[in-house]
Amino acid sequence: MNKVRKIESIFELARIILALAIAYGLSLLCLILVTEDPLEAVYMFAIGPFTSMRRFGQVVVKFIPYALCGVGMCFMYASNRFSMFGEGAYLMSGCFVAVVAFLLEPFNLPLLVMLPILLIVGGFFGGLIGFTPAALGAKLKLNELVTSTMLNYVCLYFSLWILKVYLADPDITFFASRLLPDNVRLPQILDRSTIHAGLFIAPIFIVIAVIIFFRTRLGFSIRICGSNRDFAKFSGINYYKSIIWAHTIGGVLVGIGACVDLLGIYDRYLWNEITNYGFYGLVSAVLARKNPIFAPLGAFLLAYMHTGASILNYTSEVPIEFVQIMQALLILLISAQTFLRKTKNKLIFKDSQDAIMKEGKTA
Amino acid sequence: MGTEILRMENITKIYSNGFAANKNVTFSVNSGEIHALVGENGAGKTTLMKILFGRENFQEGRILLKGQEVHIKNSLDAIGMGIGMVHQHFMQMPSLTVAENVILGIEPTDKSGVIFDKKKARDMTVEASEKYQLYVDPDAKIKDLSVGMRQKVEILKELIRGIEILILDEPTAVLTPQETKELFDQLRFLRDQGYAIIFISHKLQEVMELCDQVTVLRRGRVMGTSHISQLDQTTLARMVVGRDVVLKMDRGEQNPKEKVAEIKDLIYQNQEGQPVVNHISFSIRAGEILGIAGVEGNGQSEIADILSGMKTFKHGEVVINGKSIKGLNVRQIRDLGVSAISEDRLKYACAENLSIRDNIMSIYLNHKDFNKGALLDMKKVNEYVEQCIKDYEIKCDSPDDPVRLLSGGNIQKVVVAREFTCGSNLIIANQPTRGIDVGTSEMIRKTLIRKARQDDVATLLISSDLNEVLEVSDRLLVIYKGKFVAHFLKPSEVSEETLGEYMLGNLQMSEQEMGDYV
Repeated sequence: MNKVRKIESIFELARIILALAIAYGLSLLCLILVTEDPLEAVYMFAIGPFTSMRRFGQVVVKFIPYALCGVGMCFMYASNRFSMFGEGAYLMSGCFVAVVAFLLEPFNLPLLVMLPILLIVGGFFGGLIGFTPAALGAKLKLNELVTSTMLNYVCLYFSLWILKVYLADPDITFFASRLLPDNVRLPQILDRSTIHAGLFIAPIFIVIAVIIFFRTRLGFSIRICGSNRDFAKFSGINYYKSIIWAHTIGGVLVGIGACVDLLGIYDRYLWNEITNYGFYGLVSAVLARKNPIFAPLGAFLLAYMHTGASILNYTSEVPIEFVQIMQALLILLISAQTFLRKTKNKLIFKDSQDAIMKEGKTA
Repeated sequence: MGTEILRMENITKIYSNGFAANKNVTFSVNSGEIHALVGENGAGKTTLMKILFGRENFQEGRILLKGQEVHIKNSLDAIGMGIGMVHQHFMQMPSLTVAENVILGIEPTDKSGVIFDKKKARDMTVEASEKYQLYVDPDAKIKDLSVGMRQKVEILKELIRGIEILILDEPTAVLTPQETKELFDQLRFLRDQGYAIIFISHKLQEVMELCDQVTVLRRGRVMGTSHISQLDQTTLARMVVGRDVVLKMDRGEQNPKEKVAEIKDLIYQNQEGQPVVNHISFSIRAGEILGIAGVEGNGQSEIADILSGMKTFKHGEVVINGKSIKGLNVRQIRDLGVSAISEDRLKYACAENLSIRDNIMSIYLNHKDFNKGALLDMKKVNEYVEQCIKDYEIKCDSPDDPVRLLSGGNIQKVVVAREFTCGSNLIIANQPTRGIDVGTSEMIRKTLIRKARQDDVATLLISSDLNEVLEVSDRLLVIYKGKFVAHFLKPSEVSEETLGEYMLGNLQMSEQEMGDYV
């Protein structure tokens, strides 16, 4: 059986690399076909994000929330019950973080006091949005996928209502809150870039999440429930409790991601549509194959691709939607379980066939 | 007896995890015969039929229909070539009528060619049911019919599509004796019309009664094909469960102590409402291995599931270590000191995609030895898992290897290592060595005996391997149709033939002969 294991791990790695290569190759091919100056376009897309500190800063500030959402989504993904709470959790957390920031403005507390409070607020509302569909699924057998998707719109319009009625700044021409108080803004850590202190906050929560995932009984339970529900029952693990926890923790991390993102790069709260950060988190989790250790890598790849696309967008005529195609290709190829399976099975078959021949001779 | 209509030649099927379900299987059926395909669960019968019905691919061999090689890509292909299958779980629409179900997929239309002609559908059904003597009410809704009737509809559905080979997957499992008799008459009628019928079953008595030919599969290989007339039931039973070699175990002195588990008047009904476990009482003492022998499907699995908490029961009483387990969940029952080996290893006893470590830890997550505050004590966990791998000789590169990459025997070692070392004093071992290599089987059996002798563990051993139940058990009960029919105090002195007679229900002990087993 040793051989089967080797064949499997080689194919797993080969599959991800090949998927990346195909997706990249195809998108570059598209670029060459649609642009007048293909060389320049490919350069901007592939190398552009690294050409200046400002551009690399964009990669990093995208990476921070993607990574937190990605690790959160790993919990949901590992529980093997899909719930799309990401968008709702992101919006609700951002909105209430802004509300609490304004409420506490008169006290003028220092950032070191405000930050933990706001992180708790963000985590709480994110967790609540993750918890709700999972709990409804457990108690009333409602499909989490459906309830969470609908809940996202409830969250969107609820946060819009709060923004409109309580937060909106009447003195500006666009739809946004007043300026966020200075005592909640995360400091920038590098000159000439938008990289903010969130870069130090995110790893703390990612490490905590990884420890929960691999080193606690809850993490074990979640992984066992997601991998084989019957086995979980046979081992005496409470299935629904584990699922609810998985989704709640996932929501908390998304909420923290929203909080760090809002305080890091925005001067006003102005999210008035679905942000897609929850979805990008899911993509990172898919790229990482449910493993929260690798989710930040997936998040970085995604942040790099998105930045490349936006650079391309303002340096050439290629629209930003272009990156969606590439993203779709990547997800398709990486999540396609049967990609390369025939070749793999042929090798495994050959291996087992030899074993049968030997067995036949001795029998 | 007609000519050869179907021949599956040298079929080899290996699943993607490397498990070989069929090894070089050759199987042929003549028209106008009922051919039994017999074997234990996991012997490869279902895989072979799935291949024939186009639901599984295979790596080697070929299928010949009337002498012509064919490639069956899916079930539609199979039906088109005249192969029909009646599954154990019927493929029907409960809210539609019999006629609508029968013509599903081949709906007749009126002149326009678009609109469904309900009357024609009804006529077709009535005509076919008369032709094949399968009398059903064409206007009844499927959900109002009995299981026997629904089966008739299913057979009719296949026949109306012009099939010549009919596969029946354990058709009598859900039927009453009267319905079974009726089904047999209908099958004989179809045989006389020249149909080839493949009859998959565990029930050897029925095979003897109904079939003309029998092919026995064991561990993916053909053990033999023979005329029923040249066989008696005992020979057939030996071919199926078989003792290739008589195994002798050194069991040591037995010294049973207090009762660990007491089962009183237990009844369990399946979904069809049949009592699968019927007023059963027995007890297991510390330090003894109680074996239960029986042909599969006579209620022994249900007993194991009830004792391990996987199935709930309404009637009767089960007391383990002084506490009734009625209404308790699996966790609570395990905390009373129960551990269990499931007969379906991949479904219940492991998570294939998780590591050996995760699989071993699954029942210890709340154990105080492994928890240090909010975290698991990974040092202790790793030490323990390493110890399991060493003690039980699990062949792997590291504890991080996913279980799916291990061989069947090594997966079972993981399961056994987990369940045997948790300090329980009642082990429910349901088919602990099914489908496992000789070496691992022997290790598991020896460990069962050692646990009973050294640690005074009470063990319930359920097995369809005669060697195992006869040689490992200290006492042996034989179950037939949900009731105990025999009790042996010295199982190793019982002959296979005698045991076979009890297992098949031909013999039954009186109350006095059974003695005190409660």
